[in-house]
Amino acid sequence: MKSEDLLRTLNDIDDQILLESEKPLHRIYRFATYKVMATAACLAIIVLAGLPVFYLSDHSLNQTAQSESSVAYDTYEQSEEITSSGQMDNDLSENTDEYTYNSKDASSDYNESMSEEVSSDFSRIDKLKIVWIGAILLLLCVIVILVIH
Amino acid sequence: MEKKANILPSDETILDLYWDRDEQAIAYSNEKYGSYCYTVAHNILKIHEDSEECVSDTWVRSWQAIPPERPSLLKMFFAKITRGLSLDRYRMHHAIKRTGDETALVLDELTECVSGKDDVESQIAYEELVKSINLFLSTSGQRERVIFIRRYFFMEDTACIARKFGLREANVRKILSRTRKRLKEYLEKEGYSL
Repeated sequence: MKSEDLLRTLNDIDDQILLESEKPLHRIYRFATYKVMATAACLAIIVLAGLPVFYLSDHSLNQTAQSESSVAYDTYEQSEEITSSGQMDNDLSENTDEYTYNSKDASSDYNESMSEEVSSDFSRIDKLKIVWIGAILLLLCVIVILVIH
Repeated sequence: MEKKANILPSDETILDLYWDRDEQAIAYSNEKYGSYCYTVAHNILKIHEDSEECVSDTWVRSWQAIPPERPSLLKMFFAKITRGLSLDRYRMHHAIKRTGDETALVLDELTECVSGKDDVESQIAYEELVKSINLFLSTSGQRERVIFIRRYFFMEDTACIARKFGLREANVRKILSRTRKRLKEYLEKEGYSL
Protein backbone atom coordinates (compact mmCIF):
# COMPACT_ATOMS: atom_id res chain seq x y z
CA MET A 1 0.00 0.00 0.00
CA LYS A 2 1.17 3.51 -0.77
CA SER A 3 0.85 6.53 1.49
CA GLU A 4 -1.59 8.03 -1.05
CA ASP A 5 -3.85 5.03 -0.58
CA LEU A 6 -3.78 5.39 3.17
CA LEU A 7 -4.55 9.07 2.79
CA ARG A 8 -7.51 8.16 0.61
CA THR A 9 -8.67 5.52 3.10
CA LEU A 10 -8.97 8.29 5.67
CA ASN A 11 -11.69 9.80 3.46
CA ASP A 12 -14.06 7.10 4.67
CA ILE A 13 -13.44 7.72 8.32
CA ASP A 14 -16.38 7.84 10.71
CA ASP A 15 -18.27 11.14 10.54
CA GLN A 16 -18.48 11.41 14.33
CA ILE A 17 -14.68 11.30 14.61
CA LEU A 18 -14.42 14.05 12.03
CA LEU A 19 -17.10 16.09 13.74
CA GLU A 20 -15.28 15.81 17.05
CA SER A 21 -12.13 17.22 15.46
CA GLU A 22 -14.18 20.21 14.30
CA LYS A 23 -14.64 21.38 17.88
CA PRO A 24 -12.22 24.12 18.90
CA LEU A 25 -9.05 22.34 19.96
CA HIS A 26 -8.34 24.60 22.91
CA ARG A 27 -11.78 23.67 24.27
CA ILE A 28 -10.90 19.97 24.15
CA TYR A 29 -7.58 20.70 25.81
CA ARG A 30 -9.28 22.90 28.39
CA PHE A 31 -11.85 20.16 29.06
CA ALA A 32 -9.00 17.73 29.77
CA THR A 33 -7.54 20.23 32.25
CA TYR A 34 -10.94 20.78 33.87
CA LYS A 35 -11.39 17.02 34.09
CA VAL A 36 -8.18 16.65 36.07
CA MET A 37 -9.05 19.64 38.28
CA ALA A 38 -12.61 18.39 38.92
CA THR A 39 -11.33 14.94 39.81
CA ALA A 40 -8.79 16.39 42.23
CA ALA A 41 -11.47 18.60 43.82
CA CYS A 42 -13.85 15.65 44.19
CA LEU A 43 -11.15 13.51 45.78
CA ALA A 44 -10.35 16.34 48.21
CA ILE A 45 -14.06 16.65 49.11
CA ILE A 46 -14.27 12.89 49.59
CA VAL A 47 -11.37 12.97 52.04
CA LEU A 48 -12.52 16.13 53.86
CA ALA A 49 -16.18 15.15 54.05
CA GLY A 50 -15.42 11.49 54.58
CA LEU A 51 -13.42 11.86 57.78
CA PRO A 52 -16.11 13.67 59.83
CA VAL A 53 -18.80 11.42 58.35
CA PHE A 54 -17.04 8.27 59.44
CA TYR A 55 -16.05 9.78 62.80
CA LEU A 56 -19.56 11.02 63.57
CA SER A 57 -21.30 7.89 62.35
CA ASP A 58 -18.95 5.82 64.55
CA HIS A 59 -19.50 8.19 67.48
CA SER A 60 -23.28 8.17 67.14
CA LEU A 61 -23.24 4.38 66.91
CA ASN A 62 -21.32 4.24 70.19
CA GLN A 63 -23.80 6.66 71.72
CA THR A 64 -26.73 4.54 70.58
CA ALA A 65 -25.08 1.46 72.08
CA GLN A 66 -24.46 3.32 75.35
CA SER A 67 -28.04 4.63 75.54
CA GLU A 68 -29.38 1.14 74.81
CA SER A 69 -27.29 -0.36 77.63
CA SER A 70 -28.43 2.40 80.06
CA VAL A 71 -32.06 1.68 79.14
CA ALA A 72 -31.48 -1.99 79.92
CA TYR A 73 -29.90 -1.08 83.24
CA ASP A 74 -32.85 1.22 84.14
CA THR A 75 -35.31 -1.59 83.36
CA TYR A 76 -33.36 -3.92 85.68
CA GLU A 77 -33.41 -1.28 88.45
CA GLN A 78 -37.15 -0.75 88.03
CA SER A 79 -37.85 -4.50 88.32
CA GLU A 80 -35.87 -4.58 91.55
CA GLU A 81 -37.88 -1.64 92.85
CA ILE A 82 -41.14 -3.44 91.99
CA THR A 83 -40.15 -6.56 94.00
CA SER A 84 -39.31 -4.49 97.04
CA SER A 85 -42.51 -2.39 96.70
CA GLY A 86 -44.38 -4.54 99.31
CA GLN A 87 -41.95 -3.45 101.95
CA MET A 88 -42.13 0.10 100.68
CA ASP A 89 -45.95 0.12 101.19
CA ASN A 90 -45.45 -0.57 104.88
CA ASP A 91 -42.94 2.22 105.25
CA LEU A 92 -45.03 4.63 103.19
CA SER A 93 -47.31 5.87 105.96
CA GLU A 94 -44.33 6.56 108.17
CA ASN A 95 -42.51 8.55 105.57
CA THR A 96 -45.31 10.76 104.24
CA ASP A 97 -43.57 14.00 105.21
CA GLU A 98 -40.29 12.79 103.83
CA TYR A 99 -42.04 11.77 100.61
CA THR A 100 -43.62 15.22 100.17
CA TYR A 101 -40.23 16.78 100.65
CA ASN A 102 -38.53 14.30 98.30
CA SER A 103 -41.18 14.68 95.60
CA LYS A 104 -40.01 18.27 95.07
CA ASP A 105 -36.45 17.06 94.62
CA ALA A 106 -37.60 14.30 92.32
CA SER A 107 -39.56 16.64 90.10
CA SER A 108 -36.59 19.01 89.72
CA ASP A 109 -34.32 16.03 88.97
CA TYR A 110 -36.85 14.84 86.42
CA ASN A 111 -36.93 18.26 84.72
CA GLU A 112 -33.13 18.38 84.58
CA SER A 113 -32.82 14.90 83.17
CA MET A 114 -35.52 15.63 80.60
CA SER A 115 -33.78 18.80 79.37
CA GLU A 116 -30.49 16.88 79.14
CA GLU A 117 -32.21 14.15 77.16
CA VAL A 118 -33.83 16.69 74.81
CA SER A 119 -30.52 18.49 74.18
CA SER A 120 -28.72 15.17 73.60
CA ASP A 121 -31.53 14.20 71.21
CA PHE A 122 -31.03 17.45 69.30
CA SER A 123 -27.27 16.96 69.07
CA ARG A 124 -27.90 13.39 67.91
CA ILE A 125 -30.27 14.69 65.20
CA ASP A 126 -27.68 17.32 64.17
CA LYS A 127 -24.97 14.68 63.94
CA LEU A 128 -27.28 12.44 61.98
CA LYS A 129 -27.96 15.33 59.60
CA ILE A 130 -24.23 15.95 59.14
CA VAL A 131 -23.66 12.28 58.48
CA TRP A 132 -26.43 12.23 55.88
CA ILE A 133 -25.27 15.45 54.17
CA GLY A 134 -21.70 14.15 54.14
CA ALA A 135 -22.79 10.80 52.75
CA ILE A 136 -24.80 12.51 49.99
CA LEU A 137 -21.81 14.76 49.22
CA LEU A 138 -19.56 11.71 48.96
CA LEU A 139 -22.02 9.98 46.68
CA LEU A 140 -22.28 13.09 44.47
CA CYS A 141 -18.50 13.34 44.21
CA VAL A 142 -18.23 9.69 43.21
CA ILE A 143 -20.95 10.23 40.57
CA VAL A 144 -19.18 13.35 39.24
CA ILE A 145 -15.90 11.42 38.94
CA LEU A 146 -17.63 8.55 37.16
CA VAL A 147 -19.43 10.92 34.77
CA ILE A 148 -16.36 12.92 33.73
CA HIS A 149 -14.31 9.83 33.14
CA MET B 1 -39.91 47.10 9.79
CA GLU B 2 -39.19 43.44 9.42
CA LYS B 3 -35.53 42.88 8.75
CA LYS B 4 -34.78 40.20 6.21
CA ALA B 5 -32.60 37.94 8.26
CA ASN B 6 -29.76 36.14 6.55
CA ILE B 7 -30.60 32.90 8.29
CA LEU B 8 -29.41 29.86 6.43
CA PRO B 9 -31.69 26.85 6.26
CA SER B 10 -30.98 23.80 8.34
CA ASP B 11 -29.15 20.79 6.92
CA GLU B 12 -32.45 18.90 6.84
CA THR B 13 -34.04 21.62 4.68
CA ILE B 14 -31.06 21.65 2.33
CA LEU B 15 -31.26 17.86 2.05
CA ASP B 16 -34.99 18.08 1.31
CA LEU B 17 -34.21 20.56 -1.47
CA TYR B 18 -31.66 18.13 -2.94
CA TRP B 19 -34.25 15.38 -2.78
CA ASP B 20 -36.83 17.64 -4.45
CA ARG B 21 -34.23 18.37 -7.15
CA ASP B 22 -34.40 22.07 -6.31
CA GLU B 23 -31.26 23.89 -7.46
CA GLN B 24 -31.59 26.27 -4.56
CA ALA B 25 -29.97 23.44 -2.57
CA ILE B 26 -26.64 24.14 -4.26
CA ALA B 27 -26.91 27.87 -3.58
CA TYR B 28 -27.61 27.23 0.10
CA SER B 29 -24.85 24.63 0.32
CA ASN B 30 -22.37 27.07 -1.16
CA GLU B 31 -23.52 29.83 1.14
CA LYS B 32 -23.39 27.66 4.24
CA TYR B 33 -20.37 25.41 3.60
CA GLY B 34 -18.58 27.08 0.66
CA SER B 35 -15.83 28.70 2.69
CA TYR B 36 -15.39 25.55 4.81
CA CYS B 37 -14.98 23.39 1.73
CA TYR B 38 -12.63 25.95 0.24
CA THR B 39 -10.39 25.67 3.32
CA VAL B 40 -10.38 21.87 3.02
CA ALA B 41 -9.40 22.11 -0.65
CA HIS B 42 -6.85 24.87 -0.10
CA ASN B 43 -5.09 22.94 2.67
CA ILE B 44 -4.34 20.26 0.07
CA LEU B 45 -3.85 22.23 -3.12
CA LYS B 46 -2.59 25.61 -1.92
CA ILE B 47 -3.78 27.17 -5.16
CA HIS B 48 -6.76 29.52 -5.07
CA GLU B 49 -8.23 28.71 -8.51
CA ASP B 50 -7.88 24.97 -8.07
CA SER B 51 -9.48 25.14 -4.64
CA GLU B 52 -12.44 27.12 -6.00
CA GLU B 53 -12.91 24.64 -8.81
CA CYS B 54 -12.87 21.79 -6.31
CA VAL B 55 -15.59 23.49 -4.30
CA SER B 56 -17.73 23.93 -7.44
CA ASP B 57 -17.15 20.28 -8.33
CA THR B 58 -18.24 19.36 -4.80
CA TRP B 59 -21.73 20.75 -5.43
CA VAL B 60 -21.97 18.90 -8.75
CA ARG B 61 -20.90 15.65 -7.08
CA SER B 62 -23.36 16.24 -4.22
CA TRP B 63 -26.17 16.90 -6.70
CA GLN B 64 -25.40 13.53 -8.29
CA ALA B 65 -25.11 11.69 -4.98
CA ILE B 66 -28.22 13.06 -3.21
CA PRO B 67 -30.55 11.24 -3.75
CA PRO B 68 -30.19 8.28 -3.23
CA GLU B 69 -27.85 9.23 -0.38
CA ARG B 70 -29.10 11.15 2.62
CA PRO B 71 -26.05 11.96 4.75
CA SER B 72 -26.55 12.39 8.46
CA LEU B 73 -23.82 15.03 8.70
CA LEU B 74 -23.96 17.23 5.64
CA LYS B 75 -20.86 19.22 6.55
CA MET B 76 -18.71 16.10 6.77
CA PHE B 77 -20.27 14.73 3.61
CA PHE B 78 -19.19 17.85 1.69
CA ALA B 79 -15.78 17.82 3.38
CA LYS B 80 -15.15 14.24 2.25
CA ILE B 81 -16.17 15.01 -1.34
CA THR B 82 -14.00 18.14 -1.45
CA ARG B 83 -11.07 16.27 0.05
CA GLY B 84 -11.40 13.40 -2.43
CA LEU B 85 -11.60 15.79 -5.39
CA SER B 86 -8.67 17.84 -4.08
CA LEU B 87 -6.52 14.72 -3.65
CA ASP B 88 -7.36 13.65 -7.22
CA ARG B 89 -6.38 17.06 -8.50
CA TYR B 90 -3.23 17.07 -6.40
CA ARG B 91 -2.26 13.65 -7.76
CA MET B 92 -2.88 14.88 -11.29
CA HIS B 93 -0.66 17.94 -10.80
CA HIS B 94 2.07 16.20 -8.88
CA ALA B 95 2.23 12.92 -10.76
CA ILE B 96 5.78 13.52 -11.90
CA LYS B 97 7.44 14.77 -8.75
CA ARG B 98 6.56 15.95 -5.32
CA THR B 99 7.09 19.60 -4.74
CA GLY B 100 7.80 19.63 -1.02
CA ASP B 101 4.53 21.30 -0.02
CA GLU B 102 2.37 20.39 2.97
CA THR B 103 0.50 17.55 1.22
CA ALA B 104 3.80 16.04 0.08
CA LEU B 105 5.02 16.23 3.66
CA VAL B 106 1.87 14.49 4.88
CA LEU B 107 2.38 11.76 2.29
CA ASP B 108 5.99 11.35 3.34
CA GLU B 109 4.96 11.04 6.96
CA LEU B 110 2.38 8.38 6.13
CA THR B 111 4.93 6.23 4.30
CA GLU B 112 6.04 5.27 7.84
CA CYS B 113 2.78 3.37 8.20
CA VAL B 114 2.80 1.58 4.82
CA SER B 115 5.18 -0.44 2.65
CA GLY B 116 4.90 1.80 -0.40
CA LYS B 117 4.33 -1.18 -2.69
CA ASP B 118 1.59 -1.22 -5.30
CA ASP B 119 -1.12 -3.76 -4.68
CA VAL B 120 -4.66 -4.29 -5.88
CA GLU B 121 -6.96 -4.52 -2.91
CA SER B 122 -10.50 -5.76 -3.06
CA GLN B 123 -13.37 -3.59 -1.92
CA ILE B 124 -13.97 -5.90 1.06
CA ALA B 125 -10.36 -5.55 2.22
CA TYR B 126 -10.63 -1.78 1.81
CA GLU B 127 -13.77 -1.64 3.94
CA GLU B 128 -12.10 -3.80 6.57
CA LEU B 129 -9.14 -1.44 6.60
CA VAL B 130 -11.43 1.56 7.04
CA LYS B 131 -13.13 -0.25 9.94
CA SER B 132 -9.78 -1.00 11.55
CA ILE B 133 -8.64 2.61 11.23
CA ASN B 134 -11.93 3.81 12.70
CA LEU B 135 -11.50 1.42 15.60
CA PHE B 136 -7.91 2.49 16.11
CA LEU B 137 -8.89 6.15 16.19
CA SER B 138 -11.88 5.63 18.46
CA THR B 139 -9.71 3.80 20.99
CA SER B 140 -6.98 6.46 20.87
CA GLY B 141 -6.93 9.38 23.26
CA GLN B 142 -9.08 12.35 22.28
CA ARG B 143 -6.17 14.74 21.88
CA GLU B 144 -4.14 12.27 19.79
CA ARG B 145 -7.18 11.48 17.67
CA VAL B 146 -8.05 15.11 16.98
CA ILE B 147 -4.45 16.02 16.16
CA PHE B 148 -4.20 13.01 13.84
CA ILE B 149 -7.40 13.99 12.01
CA ARG B 150 -6.41 17.66 11.77
CA ARG B 151 -3.12 16.61 10.23
CA TYR B 152 -4.02 13.69 7.96
CA PHE B 153 -7.61 14.44 7.04
CA PHE B 154 -7.64 18.24 6.94
CA MET B 155 -3.91 18.48 6.08
CA GLU B 156 -3.27 21.30 8.50
CA ASP B 157 0.34 22.14 9.15
CA THR B 158 1.81 21.28 12.53
CA ALA B 159 2.37 24.93 13.46
CA CYS B 160 -1.33 25.66 12.96
CA ILE B 161 -2.37 22.63 15.06
CA ALA B 162 0.11 23.61 17.78
CA ARG B 163 -1.32 27.14 17.86
CA LYS B 164 -4.90 25.87 18.11
CA PHE B 165 -3.98 23.45 20.87
CA GLY B 166 -1.73 25.80 22.77
CA LEU B 167 1.14 23.31 22.41
CA ARG B 168 4.66 23.57 21.06
CA GLU B 169 5.12 22.46 17.47
CA ALA B 170 7.72 19.91 18.54
CA ASN B 171 5.16 18.45 20.93
CA VAL B 172 2.58 18.10 18.14
CA ARG B 173 5.18 16.38 15.92
CA LYS B 174 6.02 14.01 18.75
CA ILE B 175 2.32 13.16 19.28
CA LEU B 176 1.87 12.55 15.54
CA SER B 177 4.97 10.39 15.33
CA ARG B 178 3.82 8.31 18.28
CA THR B 179 0.33 7.91 16.76
CA ARG B 180 1.77 6.84 13.38
CA LYS B 181 3.96 4.27 15.09
CA ARG B 182 0.98 2.94 17.05
CA LEU B 183 -1.14 2.84 13.86
CA LYS B 184 1.52 0.81 12.06
CA GLU B 185 1.78 -1.64 14.95
CA TYR B 186 -2.00 -1.86 15.21
CA LEU B 187 -2.51 -2.55 11.51
CA GLU B 188 0.26 -5.18 11.50
CA LYS B 189 -1.36 -6.82 14.51
CA GLU B 190 -4.68 -6.81 12.65
CA GLY B 191 -2.98 -8.78 9.86
CA TYR B 192 -2.51 -6.09 7.22
CA SER B 193 0.62 -6.56 5.19
CA LEU B 194 1.12 -2.89 4.54
